[in-house]
Amino acid sequence: MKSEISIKVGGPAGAGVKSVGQILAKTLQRLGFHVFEYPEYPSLIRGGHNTELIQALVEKKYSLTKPVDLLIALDDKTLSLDLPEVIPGGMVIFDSKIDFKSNSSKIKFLSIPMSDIALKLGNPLTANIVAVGAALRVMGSTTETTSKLLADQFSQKGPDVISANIKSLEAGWNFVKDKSFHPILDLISDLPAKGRSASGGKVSNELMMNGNEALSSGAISAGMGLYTAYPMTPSTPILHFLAAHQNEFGYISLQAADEITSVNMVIGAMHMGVRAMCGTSGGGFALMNESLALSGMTETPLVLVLVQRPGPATGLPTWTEQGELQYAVHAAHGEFLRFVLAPGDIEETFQMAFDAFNLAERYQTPVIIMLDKFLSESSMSSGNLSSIGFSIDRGKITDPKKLNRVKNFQRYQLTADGVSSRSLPGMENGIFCANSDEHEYHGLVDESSSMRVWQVDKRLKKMETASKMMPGPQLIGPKDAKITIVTWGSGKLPAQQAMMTMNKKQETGNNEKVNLLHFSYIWPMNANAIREALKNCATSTLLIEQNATGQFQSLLKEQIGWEPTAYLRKYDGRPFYAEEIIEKVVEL
Amino acid sequence: MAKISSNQKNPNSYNTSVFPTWCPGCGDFGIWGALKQALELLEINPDQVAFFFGVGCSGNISSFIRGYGFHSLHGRAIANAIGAKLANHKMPVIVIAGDGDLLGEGISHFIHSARANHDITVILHNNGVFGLTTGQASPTAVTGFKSKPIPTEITDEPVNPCALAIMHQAGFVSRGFAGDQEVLCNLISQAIAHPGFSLVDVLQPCVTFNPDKSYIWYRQRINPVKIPAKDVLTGIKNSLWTDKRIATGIIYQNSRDAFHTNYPQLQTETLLATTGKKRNIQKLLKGFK
Repeated sequence: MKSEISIKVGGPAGAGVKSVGQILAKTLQRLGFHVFEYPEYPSLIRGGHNTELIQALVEKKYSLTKPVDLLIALDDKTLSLDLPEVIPGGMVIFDSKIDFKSNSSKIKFLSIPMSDIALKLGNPLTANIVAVGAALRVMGSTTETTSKLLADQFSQKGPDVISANIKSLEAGWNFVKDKSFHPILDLISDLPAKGRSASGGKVSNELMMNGNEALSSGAISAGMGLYTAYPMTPSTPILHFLAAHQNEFGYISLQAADEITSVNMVIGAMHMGVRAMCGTSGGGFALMNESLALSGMTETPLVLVLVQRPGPATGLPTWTEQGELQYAVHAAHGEFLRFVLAPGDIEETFQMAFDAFNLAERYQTPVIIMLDKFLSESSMSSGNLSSIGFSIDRGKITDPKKLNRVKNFQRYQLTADGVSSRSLPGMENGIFCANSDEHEYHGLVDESSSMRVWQVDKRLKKMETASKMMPGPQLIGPKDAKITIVTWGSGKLPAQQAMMTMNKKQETGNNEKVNLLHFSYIWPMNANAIREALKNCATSTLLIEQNATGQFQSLLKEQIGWEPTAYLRKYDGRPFYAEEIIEKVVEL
Repeated sequence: MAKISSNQKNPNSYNTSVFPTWCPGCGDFGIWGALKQALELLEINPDQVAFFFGVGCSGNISSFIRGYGFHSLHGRAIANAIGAKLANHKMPVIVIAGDGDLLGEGISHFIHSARANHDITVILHNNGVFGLTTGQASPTAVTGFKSKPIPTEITDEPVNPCALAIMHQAGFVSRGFAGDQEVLCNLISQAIAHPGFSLVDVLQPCVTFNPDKSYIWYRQRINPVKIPAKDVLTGIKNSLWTDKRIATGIIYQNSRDAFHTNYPQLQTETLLATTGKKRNIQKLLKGFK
């Protein structure tokens, strides 16, 4: 029985490559597979070369593997660039408009007049949907699930759009059928039972979601009032998603004049008592830096989403990297507490939206949520996210009734944990000044030596309090492993895929058992919890990260005094494939 | 038009424990006094107002005026203020900063918030010089100004904040003089009452670092406009300085809707009233199946 399939779609920007990817991914998901969908595209609007890699597995699919079983080529570039990835026994379907003759005997080629069929149906823009129909037939599926999906997806656009798309879908399917072509796999008969997922669970509980969507959904659920951003790939979809749902939930999402405005609006709103968040990528984060310090000094909460892409400067705008860890940990002038959270999958991303608002308000300081293009824009099957169990903690906001009994409210009072109560503008008797200058208890400027030391100590006391409660890393997989892969942020995904593959082979005695130590609460570091967790690692350790200089590795060495046995770094803008990690593990 | 009543209440309720540290004779004293009177006149209690201060001599008012304050970074007070206004649009939001701050580092915030017509009041302490850093040319320094970093006369033309705001159709654009506290109080109170972006560009003598532009120098030139212009071109024309005449008063006013009124989310409640409560997102998540 065929338990997995890997499909790559390629074409120019504007040809609907993304749609093919999403439709195939969701169809496979509805059929009960676990799916991972990964988009690649250059920074341009028309032309270029866009691809979607859709991989489905009967078991949990964590991340990408290399082989491609089915290549769908909407243009000739796909045939020249992506053909080498197709495995022997695999198949290529391509638009007949492409002048192409193959001399391979190991790969089957099928020319389909996608553009012509779409044109004859009067909808030249649906050539990509014809391709989906053809692909479904090749995989042995019917068009039933996909037709239903199209009807759901285009329900806002009306019955004409739905029927045009379904016609193209069926035309593509029928074309392959008429060629009496033998499917390369039979999806329908692979499924244990209708209405059940391939793994046996109920299909209806699975979501197909990317990191940007998970973060946005988490922020909405966590009671966010304001989101501001200036467009910057790969964080822009957060702005689009949140704008689309603002009326439904009553928060405001807006495009700020620039990143500096964006972060300062958030600080202004947080000062007034509203949960607010801004999002950007590395370059925008650089512009926001001075305001991290403003948040730190005035002890005003701030939630900032940093979706990394490869730098320096404009770098590779649409590709992936984890190159800003040290920067996020150290950004801005002066000494103050900031949190750095780096979720590793969809569930963690959703949860960390709650964590971020809670920590920002509890500690009255900036929280940076670090994603990267890979996690932000890859869609993957996830459990049904739920905020059950997550609570909202607004920290020490003064009760207005108590304030009335206080004669002399001191916003920046020294406290045991470093956190003092804050009043919100408009509360009677709670007047203070949130001051970017060094200040005394009410927030008035104070440059005296003693007050300076007290207030610095107060702010840094929060760091001590916070680091003690920061969760340590999670040990994932078998406890008796011989090798531990160490990850942070999105590295969890490919590492889990590698671990799963290796431990399956291990059952047949092919290699050593592997487990995973994953960090998503990055900063401040809870040294005791981390040292404790490191004790449970296998004797051989491999730290993987997507940057050239080993930023997390240096941080661990500096803060904990720990080094891995070996490391694997990747910085070509492409995510880790499980095979690359496996290859390195085997070398150990 | 609001007038200062003769039996006004004591504006000292806006004083803090700190007496201003400005130079004797500084124009900031006049603005400080006028602002306190205006708040009294409008019957806004100190705990019912949100101030956003820039960095410079003017921003130091953060320690001298009672109210919910936010002493921001140089240039950024407007950006904080417009976020605050969206957060709680029922509260008056007032920005107090200098020309170096608002028209140098902060000029993009100034222009963008004016064109968006955010309902904030900007009191611009305009003295043509960076006072707190000891006398460098600011964006409104007049051509010919000499300073330590530019010992030869500067050749740049000064920024005209009123013209800039009018060009982008800010709701209320006015110019006052720190040496005439009563008129200034009137301008500030009307600016706060205006539902949209309001600018009070205050001609403010810096007796220490820009002594050429003295109280007398300004008095010889200020010339109140009789009625606010309703069209942009007349407004800009009236806002321009000439060798002999600097217009004061409400130079331009329109009735554009304030930015926040465009949001249906804010029709009945503030964001402050709805934030921080867990939302049910099950319907939203269905879209991902």
